[in-house]
Amino acid sequence: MTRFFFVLALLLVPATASADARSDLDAAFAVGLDEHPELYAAVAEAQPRRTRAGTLRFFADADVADPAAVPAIAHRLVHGDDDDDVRRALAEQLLRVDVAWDGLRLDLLATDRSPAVRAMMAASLRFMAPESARAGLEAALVDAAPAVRREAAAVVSRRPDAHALAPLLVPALSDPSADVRLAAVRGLDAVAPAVVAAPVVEALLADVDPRVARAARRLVE
Amino acid sequence: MRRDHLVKTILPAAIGVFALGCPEPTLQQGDGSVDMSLSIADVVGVPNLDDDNGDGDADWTDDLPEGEDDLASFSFAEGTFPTLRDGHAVVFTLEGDVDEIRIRRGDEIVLGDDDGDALTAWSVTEDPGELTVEFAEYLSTGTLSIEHFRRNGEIAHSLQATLLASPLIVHNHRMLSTHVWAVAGLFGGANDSMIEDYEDVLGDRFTGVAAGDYDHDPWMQDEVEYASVTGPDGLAMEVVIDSIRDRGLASFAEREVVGRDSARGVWGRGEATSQDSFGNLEVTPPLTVDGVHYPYGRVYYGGPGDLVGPGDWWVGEVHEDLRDFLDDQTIQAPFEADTGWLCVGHVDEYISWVPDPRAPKGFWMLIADTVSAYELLESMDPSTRLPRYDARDGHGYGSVGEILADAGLRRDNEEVQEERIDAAIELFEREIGIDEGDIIRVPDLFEQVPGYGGCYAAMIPGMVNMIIANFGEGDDHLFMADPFVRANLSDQSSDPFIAHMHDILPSAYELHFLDDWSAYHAGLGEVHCGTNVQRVPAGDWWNTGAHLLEGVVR
Repeated sequence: MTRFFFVLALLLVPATASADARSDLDAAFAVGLDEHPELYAAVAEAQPRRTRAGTLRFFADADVADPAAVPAIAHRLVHGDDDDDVRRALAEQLLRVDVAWDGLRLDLLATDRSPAVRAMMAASLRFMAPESARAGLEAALVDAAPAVRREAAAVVSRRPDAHALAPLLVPALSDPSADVRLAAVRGLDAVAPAVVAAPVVEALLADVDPRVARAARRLVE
Repeated sequence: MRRDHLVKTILPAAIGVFALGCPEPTLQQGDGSVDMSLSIADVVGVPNLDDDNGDGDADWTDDLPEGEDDLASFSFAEGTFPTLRDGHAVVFTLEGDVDEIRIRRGDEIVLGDDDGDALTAWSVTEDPGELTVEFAEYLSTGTLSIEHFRRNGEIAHSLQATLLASPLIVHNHRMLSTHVWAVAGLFGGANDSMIEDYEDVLGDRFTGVAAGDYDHDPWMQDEVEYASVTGPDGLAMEVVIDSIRDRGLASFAEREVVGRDSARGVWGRGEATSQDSFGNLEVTPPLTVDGVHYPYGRVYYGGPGDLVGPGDWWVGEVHEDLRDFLDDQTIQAPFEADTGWLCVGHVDEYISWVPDPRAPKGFWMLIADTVSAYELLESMDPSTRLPRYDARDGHGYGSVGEILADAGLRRDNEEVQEERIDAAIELFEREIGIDEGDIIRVPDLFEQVPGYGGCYAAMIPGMVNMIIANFGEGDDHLFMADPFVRANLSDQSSDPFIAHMHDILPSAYELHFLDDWSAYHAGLGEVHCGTNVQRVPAGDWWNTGAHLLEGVVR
């Protein structure tokens, strides 16, 4: 089943789109490297720091926070040999610094080997243009990794067009992962509680995870 | 012949016989200047865990090291034993934690631990003069029976004395501050502004340790928790509870704080969770609950709740060894709050305490509040630009209106308020007897951190996550995060959140809003997380907290 989800997600992103995104990145990287060699060198060497929670994140680093560094960050993420934790931090930094590069984000969302990177790309759907966001959500909500599906479900209600996208969350209400179901209930509660059919609500109220059941009660109220 | 054998042969014939004609024996601690009449014990001391001679070992393991100043002493009032020269004897018998107590006359150990042997009885034929008592551990307890025998074996008088070492008392905000610590020079100067503010306000009462010496670990609050032990006659020792988190600041306590007259303790071992950091170990101010007074407040820490955190690091419990130890101290009656909804999972992220003599209970409970945050935002012009909340370590909002339009954020904060914050208030109402009149609600919004599995962190820099630096006599300060809910970043007077804080916090404090955005907020922490405060050691717990220790003294 897991493999099926992943293959399905891959199919949702045309190969040509992926190739375009990567060639765009490589071109932007070449231009940026020429224009900002010191900045690009700094990004190549930058290391994430431990947050208070213990996770790795790029913060308090002016170089990786510079919008001009985005192609360098993305290039390192795509072509570098960092371990998964650092790649996750690079992906998070892309989310935090710049809201462009929809094509590359969708490509990484569909193809990156790391669920943590794909989850960050799913989180970045919050900032994408409507068409890209819809395509990305459709892919992310069937990703093999629950973390990716959860981020996608969580991001819908954060968007200005949340109401239009809300129906995409309905299938996630029966996701095998409680975290995904919780995110979907919360999202629908925020923007479109009426789209949840009564039998589904009943099932959610009896959910084995108490967080989901509580969220469902809010949906009813 | 062993002394305990001698005593055992004498006592059976003597017990039960009481003779009149001699004055009652009276024991006095120290020089008798401290009134022990209210005390739970007759001789009170501190565990000898410091290192007065600087040899690297706790003094209990040394043989009366040079400079030793942590022994309790007692003697008998003049005239207590007037007839000893006539062949009478006084027999001392020690019971209880005999391997954790030493009683000396001069340099000689006469009772208790003697290089691994336990001396339980001692007899004298003259007034023994001043005796000293040394304790090994927190709450070491002994019972000293003192029997005055006539020459014919009859007991003239008997007396039982309780010996008790101090519990470890974790410091609360009612204790006056003595020194403030943070890490300076983080990440090439990312926290320079905050450090300069501390230096300007506190002068030499602040130390910024060099980030380069501590692997740029910003989280000063998390590494150590300050506590103390005390006893009569000025016995006092600061104890640093050193976290098992062991990140860059792991050596901070030994390098900067612990000296010859202070001690360090570690409880727990192995891989730490986020909950083992000491932003997750806090203490309420002194209070009374259901008629029970807690003169040093109550310890509380965060637990897993219904657990929504990411990754293996998230186990969600303070290490069992530390929880058990704190429970054993009893005087601060620990309890657990819910921090499972927070990505970092520390109690300091949403609760703090500000002493104020004008408050109904002498303090205010500060708690994060999303309702007032939305009220403040809704009072603003929605077109107000928010440069700090946009890109570059921001939260993806260009204006106040964009925050208000985020339906998911609003819904999440309603849930956080009702299911987490209001539930915490109910918990503290039950545990410490506060009510709405004791609470100051500090505006804040929380958001799910992308990629963290649905847990929350402060979106508006958490002002409640503040430092209380109260030196007394009008020199009291609150240091908290600058919320930056304004267009002009350099003009704090234009920030409605800052104005609101001036309205709701006690005017006796000078408020300081520090720029913690880049070095702390972006790393999921705030001002309190990056700072620590030493305070004046605890007071006369043997009197004021005696009722809480009755189960400890056997």
